[in-house]
Amino acid sequence: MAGVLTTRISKIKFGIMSPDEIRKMSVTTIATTDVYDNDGLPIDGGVMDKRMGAIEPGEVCPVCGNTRDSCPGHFGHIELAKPVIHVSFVKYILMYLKTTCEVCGRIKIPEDERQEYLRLLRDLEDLGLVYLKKRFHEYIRKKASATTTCPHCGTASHKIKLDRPYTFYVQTDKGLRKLTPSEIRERLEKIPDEDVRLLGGDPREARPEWMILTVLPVPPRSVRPSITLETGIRSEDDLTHKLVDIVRVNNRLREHIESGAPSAIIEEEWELLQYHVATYIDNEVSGIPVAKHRSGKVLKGIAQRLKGKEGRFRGDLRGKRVDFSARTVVSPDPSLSINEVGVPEEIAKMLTVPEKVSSWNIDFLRKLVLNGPDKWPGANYVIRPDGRKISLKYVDRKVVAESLEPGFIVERHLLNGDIVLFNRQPSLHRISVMAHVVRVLPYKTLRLNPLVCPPYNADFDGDEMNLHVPQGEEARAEARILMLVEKHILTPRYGGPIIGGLQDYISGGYLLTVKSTILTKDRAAMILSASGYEGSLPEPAILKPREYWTGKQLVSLFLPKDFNYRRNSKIGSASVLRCLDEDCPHDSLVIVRNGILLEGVLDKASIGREEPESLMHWLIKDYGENYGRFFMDKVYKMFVRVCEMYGFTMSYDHLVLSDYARKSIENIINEELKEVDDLIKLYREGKLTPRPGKTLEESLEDEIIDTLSKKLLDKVADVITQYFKLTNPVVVMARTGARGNPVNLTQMSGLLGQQTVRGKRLTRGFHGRMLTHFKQGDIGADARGFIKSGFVNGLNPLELFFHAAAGREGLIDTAVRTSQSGYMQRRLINALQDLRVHYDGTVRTAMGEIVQLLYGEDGVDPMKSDHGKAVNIDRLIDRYAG
Amino acid sequence: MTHALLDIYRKVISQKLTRFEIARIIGVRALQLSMGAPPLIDLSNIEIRDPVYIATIEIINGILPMSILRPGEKGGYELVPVNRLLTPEVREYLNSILESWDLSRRV
Repeated sequence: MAGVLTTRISKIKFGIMSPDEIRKMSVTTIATTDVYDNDGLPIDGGVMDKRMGAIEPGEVCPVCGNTRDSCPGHFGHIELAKPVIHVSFVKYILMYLKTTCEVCGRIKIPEDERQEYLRLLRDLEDLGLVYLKKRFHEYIRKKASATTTCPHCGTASHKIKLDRPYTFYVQTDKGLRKLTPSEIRERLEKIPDEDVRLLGGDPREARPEWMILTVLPVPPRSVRPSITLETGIRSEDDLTHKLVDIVRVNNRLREHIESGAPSAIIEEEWELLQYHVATYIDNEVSGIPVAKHRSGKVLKGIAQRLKGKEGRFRGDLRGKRVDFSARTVVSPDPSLSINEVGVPEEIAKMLTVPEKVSSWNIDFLRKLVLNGPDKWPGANYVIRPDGRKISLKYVDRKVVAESLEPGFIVERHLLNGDIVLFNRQPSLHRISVMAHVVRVLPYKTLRLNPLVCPPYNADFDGDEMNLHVPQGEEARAEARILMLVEKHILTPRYGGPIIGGLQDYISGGYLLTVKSTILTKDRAAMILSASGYEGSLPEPAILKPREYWTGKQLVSLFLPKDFNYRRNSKIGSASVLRCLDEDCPHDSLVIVRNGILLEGVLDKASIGREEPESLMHWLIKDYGENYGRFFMDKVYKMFVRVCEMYGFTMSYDHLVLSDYARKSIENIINEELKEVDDLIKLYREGKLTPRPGKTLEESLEDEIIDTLSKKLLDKVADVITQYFKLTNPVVVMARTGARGNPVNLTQMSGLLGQQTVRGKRLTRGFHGRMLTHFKQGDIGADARGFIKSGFVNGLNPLELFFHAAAGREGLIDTAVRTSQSGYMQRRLINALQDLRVHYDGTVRTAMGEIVQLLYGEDGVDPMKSDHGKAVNIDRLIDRYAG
Repeated sequence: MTHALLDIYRKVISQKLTRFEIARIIGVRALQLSMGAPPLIDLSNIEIRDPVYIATIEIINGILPMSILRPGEKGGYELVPVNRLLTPEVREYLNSILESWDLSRRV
């Protein structure tokens, strides 16, 4: 960076432009409403005056002599016939009027106190106490505006009223009197500089009277360019339209004043001028009608250009579009590593990486240059040391390849092994953007291993994701070292693995490790081949009558030899399948000793995602994220292979119950319904005992819901479980945690039960009933959303409506949640984005202010912790004592 | 309590490279290499010709003569040679980074 002059911006201060300043920087005064003459050329003194900067191609600016590319644009100005209020400063004008005397213009604080405050203010400024200074000014303002007589001249002050957006009144003995902007300006002019400082203003940069406009600056033409439509008709910018309005009213007002028109007419025009200037600045001020086009389209004021999500700040300055990025639909490819991303060849040929030629890569780059832009792997451009960029599309590539020397830069195609950033919106996490290693593949979608769906929250129903190619060595190093997927297997929320098995991985893990799975040599080899295992098979578990291997043996091949683990599996969470010690037929206690899976099936509790203290979690903790990636890339592929070989699927038949079971469920339902009838009878007779703090009606409702949802479903579930064994694929999925849960089983085979909205039975709809198929005032189970059927037998039409009504609640909840959490996210990021842990262990803001003396006040990195705790003693004992 | 923890924290930090420092150093060295600086290792038996890869190997081998400017005691700064901060933990981390190239070799 030799020879580069660097300066630092230490602060930025905003002020208000004074009328003198506006006139001084103006190149012309705008006085006529005509914009173009008959030849279509801008009229001098019109709002499109040529002197306000060149914007047409080939046009030379009469002021600076530059063409459109280098002319910065110049301001003009409008001399207002009467002053008007700047709407954005109304708040401050009111404050100045309230705190100062209307006659002498001085702050309503006695002289001795005033001197004392001025001294204090100087101290505050010297010490740089910004926040305290703000409160100090607030205190003074409050004190001054509460004083009713001026301590300097003794005038009794009148109350000032503001009728938003911009009309001020003064409360006199005779009633409310309107203050004209001219009067207000006169009063503000009288305030001494020192008093302005006391009230929090800066008299050098923002004198209070400058908040009343006497001269209006007219922005350069380049700020409000006109567009020529295909038909040849010119269409002007909203601001230009607004400026014409202002000039028109301003001229009319001036004529009225000069001709000595009645004051009522002048007043009216003045008010109109005020309206136009206000809407020119901000067209969303409440209290006045918004200014519209003739077509009815709302005009955009200056404030609207800057404000909000698509405004200049959030839309253009903080959010920019970038090169070297791609976006398409994503699809799954379980054969990729979790660190990889599959990039279509078409995209790989468009995205480039600049690579500087040096002695050790020149041969390689020559080959790429020879291949050119259309053949992958190739290169699109060569940049010579003098900065000339040569497109390889139109030149003799042999010559360019020959001329390649160290110091040239080749913009080569994206190749296998390159590092790229991969992202899916909404980016709520740091793990919403991770670095992947490129693998160029055929077809047209970006591909990722389904195991990395959870951090991105991606699925494949049409989701699109973005890909960015880092262009510098430093960026590539950072991406690979800090952002690679494997570095984010553990979530920074609580330290558990966020990447892990889901759906088929879990079913496959169970099917492979369940006791009944014994594999012949060819089957075992077939499963192992999915992982790319290259060693030899272990000794078979069964030798006679044939050699058989167990699935547990295959998994053990990939476990470290000193690994110990003991924990219940997910299927053991059901009381019927629970194992209390090693000697147990259900095989639901997972035990690993010295790297051998001795007992237990692998299911969600061992290999699932977001399962803290699982097998996967401990493997990662003890052997590194690196090992976690290895395990997921190898072993998890076996799980999928097992699913494929087994032909794992579910069908309608797996959910149908025997007639006998169906009958017993019906009996249970009828029993409970009878109980509900009894309750209602009791209630009708007034014999029902109300629950504490509830009315009689509420008690009845509670009782019915308890009976129909909790008790009933539990009973039915008990019946169903007798018939659903772990040989049933639906049960395998529900029990292992792959998909669905036992409640879903009851809903399919048994009944849906009581439908609720906001925890209450369905009541809303018609007067006294939900649907017209019931009598008014019917509070029985059927009339209030009880569903007797399950999905297997089908719902009757009434039940379908009940189900839809209850289902809608969930949809609304998700819609509301996403919008609310999105806003919360934005505010949290704004508050926390600059916090950083420094070398001395403190957490500080960008300005160096200390937020915490030690990160999290315990110094624990939650990503490396166990649920926020630094160490897990039980685990350590387990690991070393066995 | 906070004081004791802070002391531990500072001691741990003072003995190893943080992952951010690793990224910074490798990034700087990779930039040098890409601009034509001669590598400090023999490249003949290294297949992967990525400056970041070469820089990582250089740092693992402890032959990178670079130092880190860290805030020292009493508001001063001290220069800490990278080699002094190469704990086994850091080496393990660096080796895990090297493996990311093995997934899909260049053509």
